[in-house]
Amino acid sequence: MRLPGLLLQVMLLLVPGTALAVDTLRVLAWPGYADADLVKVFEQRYDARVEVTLVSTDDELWARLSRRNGEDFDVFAANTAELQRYIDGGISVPLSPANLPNTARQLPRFRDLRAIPGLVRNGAVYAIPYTYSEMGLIYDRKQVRTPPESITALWDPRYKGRVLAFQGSTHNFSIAAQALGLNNPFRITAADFRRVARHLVALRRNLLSFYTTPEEATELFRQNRAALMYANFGSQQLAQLRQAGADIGYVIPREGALAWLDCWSLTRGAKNRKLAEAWINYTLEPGVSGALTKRQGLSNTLEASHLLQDRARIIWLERVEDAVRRTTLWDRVVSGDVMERF
Amino acid sequence: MRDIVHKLPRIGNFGIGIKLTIVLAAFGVLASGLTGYYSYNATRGILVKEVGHDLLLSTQVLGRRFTVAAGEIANDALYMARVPGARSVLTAPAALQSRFKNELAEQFRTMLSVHPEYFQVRLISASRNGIELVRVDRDGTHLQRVEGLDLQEKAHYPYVFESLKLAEGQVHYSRIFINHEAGAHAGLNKPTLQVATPVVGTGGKALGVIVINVDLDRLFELLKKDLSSDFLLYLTNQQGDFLIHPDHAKAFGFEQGRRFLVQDEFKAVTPMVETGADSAMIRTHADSPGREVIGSFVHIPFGKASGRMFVILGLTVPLEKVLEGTETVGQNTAQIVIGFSLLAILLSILVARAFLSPLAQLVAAVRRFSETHELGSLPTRRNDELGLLARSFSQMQEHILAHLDEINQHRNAMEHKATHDDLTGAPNRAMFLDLLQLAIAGARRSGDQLALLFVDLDHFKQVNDTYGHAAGDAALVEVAARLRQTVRENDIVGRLSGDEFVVLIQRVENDGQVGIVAQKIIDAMQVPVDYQGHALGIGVSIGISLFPRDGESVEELLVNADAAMYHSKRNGRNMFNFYS
Repeated sequence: MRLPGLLLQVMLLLVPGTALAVDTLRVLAWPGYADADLVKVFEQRYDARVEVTLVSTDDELWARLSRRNGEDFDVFAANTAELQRYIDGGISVPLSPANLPNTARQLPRFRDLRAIPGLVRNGAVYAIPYTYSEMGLIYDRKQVRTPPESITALWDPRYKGRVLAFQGSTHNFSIAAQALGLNNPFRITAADFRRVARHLVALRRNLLSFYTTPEEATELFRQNRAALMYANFGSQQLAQLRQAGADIGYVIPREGALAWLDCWSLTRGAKNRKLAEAWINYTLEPGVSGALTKRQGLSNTLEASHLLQDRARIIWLERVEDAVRRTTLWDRVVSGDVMERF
Repeated sequence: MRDIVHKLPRIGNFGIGIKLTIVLAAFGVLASGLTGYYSYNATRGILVKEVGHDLLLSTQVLGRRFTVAAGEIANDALYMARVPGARSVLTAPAALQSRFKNELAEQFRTMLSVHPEYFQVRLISASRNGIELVRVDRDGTHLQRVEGLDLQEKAHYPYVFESLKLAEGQVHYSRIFINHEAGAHAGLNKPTLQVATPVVGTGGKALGVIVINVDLDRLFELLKKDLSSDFLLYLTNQQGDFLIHPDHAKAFGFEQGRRFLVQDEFKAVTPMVETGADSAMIRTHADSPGREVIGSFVHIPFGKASGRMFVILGLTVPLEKVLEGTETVGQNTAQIVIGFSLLAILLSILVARAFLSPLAQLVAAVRRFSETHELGSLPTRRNDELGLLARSFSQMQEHILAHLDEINQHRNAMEHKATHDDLTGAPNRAMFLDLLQLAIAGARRSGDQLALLFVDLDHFKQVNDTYGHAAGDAALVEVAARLRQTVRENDIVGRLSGDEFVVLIQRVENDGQVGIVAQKIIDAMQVPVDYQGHALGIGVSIGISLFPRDGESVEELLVNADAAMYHSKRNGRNMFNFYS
């Protein structure tokens, strides 16, 4: 009689102990990827705590993940091009597709991981596609009568002081390279770097301002009656502006629009890999991936998107020649260093 | 009676006394304990309330200082925008510019040196992509003028393009942010507030912008310098994002991709963020569990007449700090409570004693009464129930004593009746024989002589027959009385039967002494007995036996005395004879 009672007491003592030791999942993602309500459902289902950290630029993402070699996070979202430096640095580690049954719901083109450059290395799968967009030009139909055809419109003095650009290094170097007609926007040669940087100073001089988040872009665009904006967040920004009632158009420039495919990947610091994989699997549920489209205007990997069909050239992002160099130069550009400095 | 007393419950040190003491003491201790506890709690409550009030006041004062400071920064910016030098820099021909710039830079330096909370003062041109024309930065402990190619183009920053839209005298306040502008010296990566105002030319057109970068941390250090160091400072923007937080990791969370909101940490502040409520008091467990804090948050508008810009300022203090003072209050209260408790215990003992001493007195009285049948002193004068009890008890004792007397008298009467002759009151035969036996025993011990006189009435039958039994009885009574009068007090007169009397004379020394007594008796009987006018003549014949000469036992003495008496009767009556 006595022993079972004692055991029961011991068990009762242990129960709150186990309840306290709830697992924490540290997610590093982008605005709209981990909305609070969807996170809550996951937390309840897996009896875990989710700590979401949001970034709005690739530079920021790199800063966060590289600072302690990925130890600060369990799972993160990066585009296929950026992913390469995380794999190189050992920050991104292979995952087990077998633990992600919801990948079966994805469109065939996203299921064929080997066909997408950058996801598989040495036979190991490092990331699972989640969302994607190309980055075109948004313009105010009232101020811009004829839709801009080229990326060079951002430099057009007619729009001086009414242009908005993204505050991030990699893509801006790429579009400046495109505007200069360089062969490969992801491979700026040492000889060309100075020229591209100076072209970015020229871009800066034509701007109203830089934005970092889709929300900030919408606010700046609306309050300052901007004419033209580089849509770094693509369809997400488009959806937000339209929701805010802006009369806008959207074009893919003739040089081709850079496009990103964001994927979920595990870090080497992942404490509970099963939980991190459960998160990835969870985001591929129709309700969660669908919210991405419904709320953010972003394409998901479960449903066919109009965005990529029958459109002009799409240039999927590739890893760049020297991300650190781009970042260092970019910091000076955005801070206002004069042309003579480059 | 004695048995009953022993069965009475003991009323002593154990019993009602202990119970009463415990109850009274418990009551006293409880009363003083509760009073102490409640006064301690009330003191804490008052203290918390007071500190809450102080906090609110401090927060408001701090907020007002911030508003004033923001106004002063604006005034500094406006002053710089109006000094002739600023306009000269923007309008003078290139050849003269360098001198104007130097002069303005000197003024910027002066301003920075008197305002340690300023990071940077600049004049930025409205043209040439917002190039900085004059710029002085704080760099560590010294001030550094930035010149030449180090000057940057800032037209794409809101503090420039927003300020250029303003009219003369208007001021732009930036949101509070972390400054990432490369080359910002001391201000790099620091919480910053920018205050900017346009420099307007003669045509009313903005030619440039004066911008002052303010070190927010430093500003608040200055503002709160006379506040208690126990107070923790919080500052949030309009959305509730922490800009200053005791836990530095939570300040500017939005810059790090994570938002830490005041309304999440302190629920009571929510209306201030959502509906612009003026202030909120909080009392809650802060992030570290078990540490309760109280605090106040106040809505602080800043900027001239705009009313749109505001921050939320909060001060909290750990409750334990607030209540530090009550430790001594608590100790004092505890001491007082202990003192009063001891007093209560002492009083209880005294009260119980005071209550019990009359009871003890009663008990003693009962004991004494039961042992000695004496009335003891009782607390009958008390006016309370004990007095009543004592009075009742006293009455009861008197009743009992009266009863006892009655019983004793009755018993004595019964005893007398059993051993004495009803008619004459003289000891009857049985009693006399007992007394004779006793006397023999005593005489035997002391060696004394005894004399037994057998006295028989003469002619008694004639008296009875002539005058009736009543006359006989009267005669017998008179005979008994005369016998008693004749003999000594310690000699015993008894009636054996009918007309036979006996007299025991103790301590006889010789026959003569006895003969004198016998003759006295005969003489006493010579006087006739008066009965209803008749003179009843009565004589006596007496026989005498002596102890130990004529017998050593009752029977022998009686028989021998009887025989001597018969001898007297035969020889003529009214005479006495010794047996030998």
